[in-house]
Amino acid sequence: MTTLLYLAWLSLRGRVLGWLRLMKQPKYLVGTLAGVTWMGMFALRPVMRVNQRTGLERRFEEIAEWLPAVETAAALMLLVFLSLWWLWPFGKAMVELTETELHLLLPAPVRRRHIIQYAVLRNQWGILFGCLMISFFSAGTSPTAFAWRFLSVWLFLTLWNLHSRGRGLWIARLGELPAATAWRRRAMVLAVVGLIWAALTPAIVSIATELPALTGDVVPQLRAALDPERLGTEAPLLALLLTPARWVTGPFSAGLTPDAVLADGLATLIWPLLLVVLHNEWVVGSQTRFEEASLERSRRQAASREAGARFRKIRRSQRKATPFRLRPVGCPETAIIWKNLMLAHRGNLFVLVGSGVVAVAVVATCVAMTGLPEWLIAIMTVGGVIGLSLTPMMAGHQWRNDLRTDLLRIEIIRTWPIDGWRLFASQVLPPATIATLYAAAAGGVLLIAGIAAGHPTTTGSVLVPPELATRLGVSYTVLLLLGLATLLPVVAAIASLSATLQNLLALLWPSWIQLGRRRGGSAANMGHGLLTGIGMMLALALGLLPGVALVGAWLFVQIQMADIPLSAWELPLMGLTAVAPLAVITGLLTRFGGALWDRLDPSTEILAAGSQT
Amino acid sequence: MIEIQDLVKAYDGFRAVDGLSLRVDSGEILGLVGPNGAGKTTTLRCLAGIVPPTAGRVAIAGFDLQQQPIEARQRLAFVPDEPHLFDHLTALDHLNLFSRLYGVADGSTRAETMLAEAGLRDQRLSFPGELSRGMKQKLVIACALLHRPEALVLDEPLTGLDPAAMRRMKRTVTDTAAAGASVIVSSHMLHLVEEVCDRVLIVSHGRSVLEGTLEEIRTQLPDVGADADLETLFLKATGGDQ
Repeated sequence: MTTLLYLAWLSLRGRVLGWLRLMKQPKYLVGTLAGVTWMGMFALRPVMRVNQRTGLERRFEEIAEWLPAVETAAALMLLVFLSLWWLWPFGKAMVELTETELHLLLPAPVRRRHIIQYAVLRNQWGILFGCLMISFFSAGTSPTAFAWRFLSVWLFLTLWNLHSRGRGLWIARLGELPAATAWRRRAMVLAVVGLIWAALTPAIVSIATELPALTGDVVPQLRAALDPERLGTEAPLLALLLTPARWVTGPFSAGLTPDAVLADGLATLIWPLLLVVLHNEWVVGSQTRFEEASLERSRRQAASREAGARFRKIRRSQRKATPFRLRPVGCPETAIIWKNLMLAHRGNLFVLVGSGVVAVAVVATCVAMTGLPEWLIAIMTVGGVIGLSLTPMMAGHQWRNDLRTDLLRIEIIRTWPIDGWRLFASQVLPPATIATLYAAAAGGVLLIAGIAAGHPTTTGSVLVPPELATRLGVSYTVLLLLGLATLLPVVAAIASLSATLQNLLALLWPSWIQLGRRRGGSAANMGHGLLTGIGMMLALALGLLPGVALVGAWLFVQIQMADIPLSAWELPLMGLTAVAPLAVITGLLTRFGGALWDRLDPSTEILAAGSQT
Repeated sequence: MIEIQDLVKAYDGFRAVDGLSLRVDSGEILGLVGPNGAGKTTTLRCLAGIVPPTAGRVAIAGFDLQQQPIEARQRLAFVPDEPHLFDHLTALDHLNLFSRLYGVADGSTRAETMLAEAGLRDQRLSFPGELSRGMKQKLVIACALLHRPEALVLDEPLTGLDPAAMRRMKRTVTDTAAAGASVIVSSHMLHLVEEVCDRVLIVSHGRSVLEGTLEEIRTQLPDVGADADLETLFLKATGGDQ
């Protein structure tokens, strides 16, 4: 076991040293400081303030009388879930080890319980990080409250982890045992689950029959029904069954009681700790043959990580389709756009856009004649607004058919005879194009909703006041169309900026970017997300404010100074004016990205990552 | 023509390539050999413009790679040791992509010709994930030769190939040189280098140890017979026989 602990220590040390090595480079140090500052200013500080305002003492006053009932309810839910979970007949003999660890450790003279223990301990990094985050955001400013929250969450997550692992190993073991023994064990579990439900059912039936009679004054009744003392008297078997679940929820309550005696608080930890020890022994002592399942899992993971796996499923007839016809001669950057669009979809772009426009036109015409139910108009309006506003912002985050995928093939793309900024621009355009198309589809939905809202039978939904159209000198439908034509360039510009920033980050901090199509959920990726967030906000503020100011100045001069009435036909031009500063910023960033690309030395960071993939 | 003058590539103080110079004329094949970590791949990556050199000059067909990168790259083809391909493009897509990137006027017909020459006509609509390593290697070569490069750089071109594919690869290398291209082949397969290369450059610790034809190298080394093969010469020159 010492050797495996040493291995775990070496892995941790390697990660920390790798991180420190990155920090030697000023760009990573500055990036980390910016990320931490942003996190502190915009994420942690507001939460801390809220926690301070509603301090633990005050909160305790609000919830003190509720705590026993809440504890019972949580224990009940836990018991219901666990009993149902054990009825589910499938489980995996899963011990999470990497393929390298499996190949090195399984043939080594190491006891199997030590290998399982090593795998269990490895899971602790994720659990500890989760506890830290939950405690930060929920425990307030008091160190004692923080420690209690950390401990109680740790106990809960560790127990959950061990229980699910143990259950998986236990079920997999049934397949290895003689049929009679396996059935005997299954019957035993069924009996226990039956016993639990025999105790649970009367309580549930009682609540179910009381529910319709519940009035507005439901709170005291609920509290009384879940009171542990009453439960102990009226349903002693259920109270007994709930005891282990209470051990798990107990530390949460202890952490919420500010004037609790420390010894009493610590006493609540003894039972869950005992459960952790018992669970751990159950898992590491398992005789299940986990080796094959673990190898299979690591193989499956490797296969799913393999970028080419999903393309093999494309039918032969579809393989000839391309987003547009690529002629052999012309701007080389078009070839990169063509290639990267195909990473998202091989369908013909013009057919796609054309059929989309036709579909929207046909549906809009029908809707203009028949109208739509108001609830549907409301749903379409909300969906359309969300799609139109969020999709461009998420362009760089959602679609990765750009440098983040191509950097894995740097040995090819770096040799192409193309200027850095042109290559950079051609990498940015595909995700921006796709995001714009999705946003345009959302705009189409919004247009249909708007037309339906303008139908004479519709009274409750108004997307654009009809009198506004009259005031701007056009019909209602034309105003909607002009509105969409105004928004689409803005959407395209924001999508381009979002994709540009993501690609810039890939060049500036390659070690922080997960290369390839898949996004990761690690702490490093969260840091990357934070940095992107800062960049997006700054760049959008810089880009949109001048545009808004320009449009404002336009309106002021035209309406206030020259007293010329506004026409709806000016709207698209206003949209383009608002977009102009954003386009300039995106252009400058693209030039900067090109210069970075030309000066990029991928030898230490990107080439190493590519070789590992 | 490929020309490298006093090339230096340093990482964190370590000089992977340390003042290397070489010249390969049109129609000539140079074999680049050296022990692991000698700086061969780094040299080739500098030559292909993948990593920028710390110092020195690289020129392809007379164009300085730093000053006129587009012109230099337009005349160069680099085949890395691993056959890197785009997972979502078919074999034909790859050739169409390279046609446009390098502006090959007869790209469509040439793509079909290259596929046929590489024996990949039946795999024209296959994705890289459906090809064997040898087939991938052939596709990479086809992409590299599509624009009729004046300089061809190959890093370990025979890795993973079957004997028939090895023979075809050797023929491709000699044919490309015969058509007037300057070729550099880096390989640990010394018999390949001995067979196809006109001259050999032995590098160690990022520096040139010996350069010339086999005969010239034999005369530069003491205690080697007149019939010593490249393996013997290599081991003698790099101290690998001790």
